[in-house]
Amino acid sequence: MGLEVKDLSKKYGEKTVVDHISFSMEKPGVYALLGTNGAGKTTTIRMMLDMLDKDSGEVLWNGQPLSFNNCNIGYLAEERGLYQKYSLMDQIMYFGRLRGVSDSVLKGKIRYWSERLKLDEYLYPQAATDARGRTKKVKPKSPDQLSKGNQQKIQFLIAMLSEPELLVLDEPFSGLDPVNTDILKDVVREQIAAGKYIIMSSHQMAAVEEFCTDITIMSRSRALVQGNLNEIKKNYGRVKLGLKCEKDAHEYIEKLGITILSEKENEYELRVTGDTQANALLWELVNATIPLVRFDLSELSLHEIFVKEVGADEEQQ
Amino acid sequence: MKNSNNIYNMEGLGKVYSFTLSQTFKSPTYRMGFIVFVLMFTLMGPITRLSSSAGLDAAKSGDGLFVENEAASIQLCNKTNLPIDADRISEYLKETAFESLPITESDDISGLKEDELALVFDRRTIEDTEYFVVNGVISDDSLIESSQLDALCSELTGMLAEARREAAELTEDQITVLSSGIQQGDCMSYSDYINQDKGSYTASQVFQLNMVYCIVIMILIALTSSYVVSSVMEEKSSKLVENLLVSVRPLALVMGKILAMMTYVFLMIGLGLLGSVISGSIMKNMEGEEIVQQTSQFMDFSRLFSQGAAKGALIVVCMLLTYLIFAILAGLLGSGCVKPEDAQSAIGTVTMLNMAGYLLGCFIPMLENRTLDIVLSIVPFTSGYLAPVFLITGRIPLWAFLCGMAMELVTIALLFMLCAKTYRKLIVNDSKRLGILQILKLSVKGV
Repeated sequence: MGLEVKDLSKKYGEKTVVDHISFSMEKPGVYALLGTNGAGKTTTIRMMLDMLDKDSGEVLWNGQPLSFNNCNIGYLAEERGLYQKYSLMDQIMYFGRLRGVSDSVLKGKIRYWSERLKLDEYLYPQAATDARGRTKKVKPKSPDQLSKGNQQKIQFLIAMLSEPELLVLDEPFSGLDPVNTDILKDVVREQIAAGKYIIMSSHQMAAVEEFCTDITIMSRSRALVQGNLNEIKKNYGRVKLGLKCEKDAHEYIEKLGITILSEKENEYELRVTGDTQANALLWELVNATIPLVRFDLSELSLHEIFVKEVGADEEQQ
Repeated sequence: MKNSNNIYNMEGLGKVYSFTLSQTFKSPTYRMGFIVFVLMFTLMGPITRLSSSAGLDAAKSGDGLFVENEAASIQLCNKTNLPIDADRISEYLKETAFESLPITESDDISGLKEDELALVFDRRTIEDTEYFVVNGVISDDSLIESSQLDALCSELTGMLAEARREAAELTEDQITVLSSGIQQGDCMSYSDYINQDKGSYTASQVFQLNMVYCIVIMILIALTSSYVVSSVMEEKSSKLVENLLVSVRPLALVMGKILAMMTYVFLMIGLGLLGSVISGSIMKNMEGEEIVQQTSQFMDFSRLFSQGAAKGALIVVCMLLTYLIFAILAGLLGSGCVKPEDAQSAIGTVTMLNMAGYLLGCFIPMLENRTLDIVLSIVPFTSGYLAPVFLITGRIPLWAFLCGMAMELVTIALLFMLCAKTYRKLIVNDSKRLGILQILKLSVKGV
């Protein structure tokens, strides 16, 4: 059953911003909505969560229209922000209460997530030593003193308070430094292991590729490529060959008509037509007794598929 | 999600209400505003009474202003044919600190010295209306304070009135007959005719009472519009709207804010009025009813609630309804804003309506036009400024008041529906500011 998005469309005047998008998640995992800026990812999410009216389509959760009542939803919006004048703890408590979490449970959860996301110093008074060596409690920072990345982590904490079964993360890694990106990735992995449904929108392919099982690549408001990521990659075949030798291999590469994408001191990134051509190159190199350091035949990365498909689509336009 | 099918769902209202209210009272700005407002309401009555009665008290007691006066002599210039002379004035000033000053009669007061004052009694005409006047005149470099002179002249107007009656050679009865006013009565039923004498108000009394009421309403609306628009804009500028919308219904979000602001504003006004009633009682005990009656009661808000519990309750209900109309309107206009600077335009629209209502509230009571009174007491945006005081003072019948309240309820219901239909779209709108006409269009066409 899970999540089913059927035929979502949205127009602003004559301009179509989402054009008949459909996808489904039958089992827990990560579904990625990918696309360039303005492709319609955020609008799709907003329609799914009923922040925007749909011109057509429906969103089902276990066969029923998705609603607050039948699904516990956690949402990290693309726009980061907090009430600047209110204390962080007050606003986190407010959001927790709005999500129906009791105060006693909420305090424990805030403590847990603040430690997990390394936010304690912003939420709880900290002991500090002054110039005279005296220890005193320092008030936590106010929202306007937080960096964008920390504000984002606070919003993520808010999204996690109700232990959502459906987690919608719109550009979760943008604006985070590598340390915080790793913290967030760990949490996402935990959530996947815990059997949560996660919708992730991003244009950071490498980060998404780590988690997602199914994708929709959107371009110009419509779904360009859609399906299981492994299947999509398989369809493109194993055409990427990384080669590193101890001698120049140009002669053998050119002999077989293989495309060189990049090269640097006997290290090559090649585009082959498939396994047969790759094997032929390997045979030539072995026969010529050229010592190999690396021979790595792989599928296209999500990034490459994205660039290839979206690039082609934009060229068509 | 299916909550679009139930736009009137208010789930989460209580939580939005309690959060907004608690944060309002945690804000130092709002706390300070609250305290200043309550103190202002509490002290305004006593301050105006004290300032206006000070001169009168001093004149009567011979204390206060007159004690330190710098005058050495008084010149009397009588340009009337009334029997006013130095002896008569001396007699009148016997109880005051001016008693011992020499009085000389003179037609020319051009050479006044710095320690001399002149009392000029004159008869003038403005637009065919004659009147008597007493002026206190001092030299340009005088040591005498004009406030001392004002108080003295105020005291002498009583003497002028007495001299005028004497000159006319009228009896007390004749004076009473001539000085009684004339009013055009209304067509009314016999029962209304019988009841009217039980507590009738003059146009001036209605004007004064409604002026006080309108000040309260105007302050209420001004605070409301600014607080509600700020509160809605704060949410938009915090970029938290999307996070909120997955946790709470849009209508609950705006109504929670409106109700929290209602609690704040009404608590503030309620405490201010209570303070006004208490300070008014203290003043009456200290100075006596008579003094309080004589002096200005313009800013005495306790008068609104001195008409009995039922009428006081009517005023409160009417205030609540008026608040809701303007607060929902402010919420809608606030949610149509995109940038913080748009808030000024939203507040400006409400302020214009508020000022129009206030001005009508001030001037309509003076016109004494029964039809106009009834019509404006029924029209939703004006009834809040007029109907309660008109009912209390008998200017409109109960049915007109109830019609007015019913119209206000209908207006609130319509605005509530408009809010339910558009609020979700408005708070996620980040393209351009939408005014009331675009909001109406949005509710009809959905785009």
